[in-house]
Amino acid sequence: MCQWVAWLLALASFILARVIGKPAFEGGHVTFAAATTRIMRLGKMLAMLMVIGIVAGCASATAPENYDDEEYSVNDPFEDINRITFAVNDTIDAVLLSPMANIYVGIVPRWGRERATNMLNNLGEPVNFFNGLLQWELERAATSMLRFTFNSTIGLGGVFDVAEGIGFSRTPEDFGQTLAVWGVGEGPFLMLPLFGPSNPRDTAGMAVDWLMDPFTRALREHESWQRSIVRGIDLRSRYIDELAVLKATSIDHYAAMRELYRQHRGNEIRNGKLPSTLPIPSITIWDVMGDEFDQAASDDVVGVDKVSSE
Amino acid sequence: MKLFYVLSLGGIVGRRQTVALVALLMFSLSSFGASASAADDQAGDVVQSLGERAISVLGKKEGSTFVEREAAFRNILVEGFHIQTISRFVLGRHWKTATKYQREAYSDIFVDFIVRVYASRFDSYNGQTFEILKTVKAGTEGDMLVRTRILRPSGGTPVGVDFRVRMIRGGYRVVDINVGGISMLHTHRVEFASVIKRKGMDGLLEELRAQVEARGSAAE
Repeated sequence: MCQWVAWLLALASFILARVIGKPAFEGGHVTFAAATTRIMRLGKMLAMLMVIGIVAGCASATAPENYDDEEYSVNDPFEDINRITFAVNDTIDAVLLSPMANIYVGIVPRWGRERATNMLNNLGEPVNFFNGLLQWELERAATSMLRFTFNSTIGLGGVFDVAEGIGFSRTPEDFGQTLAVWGVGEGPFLMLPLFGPSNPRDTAGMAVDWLMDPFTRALREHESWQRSIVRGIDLRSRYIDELAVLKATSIDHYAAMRELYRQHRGNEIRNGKLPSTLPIPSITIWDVMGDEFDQAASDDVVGVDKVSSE
Repeated sequence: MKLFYVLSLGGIVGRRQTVALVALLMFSLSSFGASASAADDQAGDVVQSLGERAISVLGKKEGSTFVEREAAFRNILVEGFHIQTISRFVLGRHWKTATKYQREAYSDIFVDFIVRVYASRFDSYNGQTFEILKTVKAGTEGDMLVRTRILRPSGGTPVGVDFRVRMIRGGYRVVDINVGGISMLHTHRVEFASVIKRKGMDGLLEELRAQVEARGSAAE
């Protein structure tokens, strides 16, 4: 399973390197091209390192023995490195991303920000459509196509989400979800630099999405990068309060983020449907306390219950 | 606020029919209501009243301090949630290995912790309304899952919130909240386990205490 993902990832980064390696638009962009080439080279190197890391990681990463125990169902063999990356990301967020998001929210009124979000969402519809097809979720694929058609035309290039108004809500799909639908497991948890929480499956998915996205080619290189940056700021600006509260109220920020990511992806993969058997195990007090249920604890139960029923 | 009971309709209804469904819903609201079983009614009512109380607390935001709102939240949580069940589940197997003193300390601090966390998380809500979509069986323990959604005043995509309720001593109590498919109970459980793994049970108690105190002083 893990090797599968590694191969996919290797393939994806190879193609990505080819695509990126080509000088995009020969005429008129020489200086910018020169500047971006360096960034590209760095990106390629990072991609290679990531593949090597994941292949090496896959080889050594076996799920913990008590993986089925709900309490410990965390496959995180790289926790030490992940925590360091998380701290670095957190610092980058604190000094760069978060201030940028705050400035953005400060100067652009809500109406304007919603238009920007809509436009970015609209650019993402082709990827939603392709992945909908690949998952054989025809209704969702059709919805993406309709949304793209309506919003790009009547919605003035995606600025207005007219499709939402007539009952076609967004149906976000990505290749990570497609892989999940095809039966690829999530693998070990990974904290990616800049991109944040992920896993081998979703990392490969991200690369493939970049490749299948027609806008990757339609836009010039620097426009593609600008789009990614704007996307990042847009995304961050929509979760300013939530992320701040999460950070302030969690006793292990990293563990909380890891679990939120995993559950969030699970929900996305199920397209918001309830799982057939809810992943919430029995929580009968007797079960939890097992044989060591003692009288003191029992008194405690009654005592607190008395308080709570008042 | 109207109470919507959408019963199964063959499971999850596709997005395409959303508009038609809403129209259908409005039209045949009464018949759906009548076909809801008593248990569904009761579970839904519990969540409905909790939601209304929470909204009324947030509605008075202008004339109240965080401390006051937190006190109101405490009442809502302690009455509507079964904190005992929640706290034991969140600690999981570590309950067994904890000493008697640790168990008592944990039980004490957990109530404060959970009140702080949820008061803080919900305090950012402003002008939201919520509606109950349907009540479904939640598999084990005869639990019911009351599916609701929270509508933002600005429009925007509604957030799906599911309340898992359980019949405990003759009344339905909330034992878990799922926000956008994320179980709060599970998240805390994993988070707590992670802290215990790194710092031990006493380390967890210390972190919980620190969190309660930090939030307390931040609220002043």
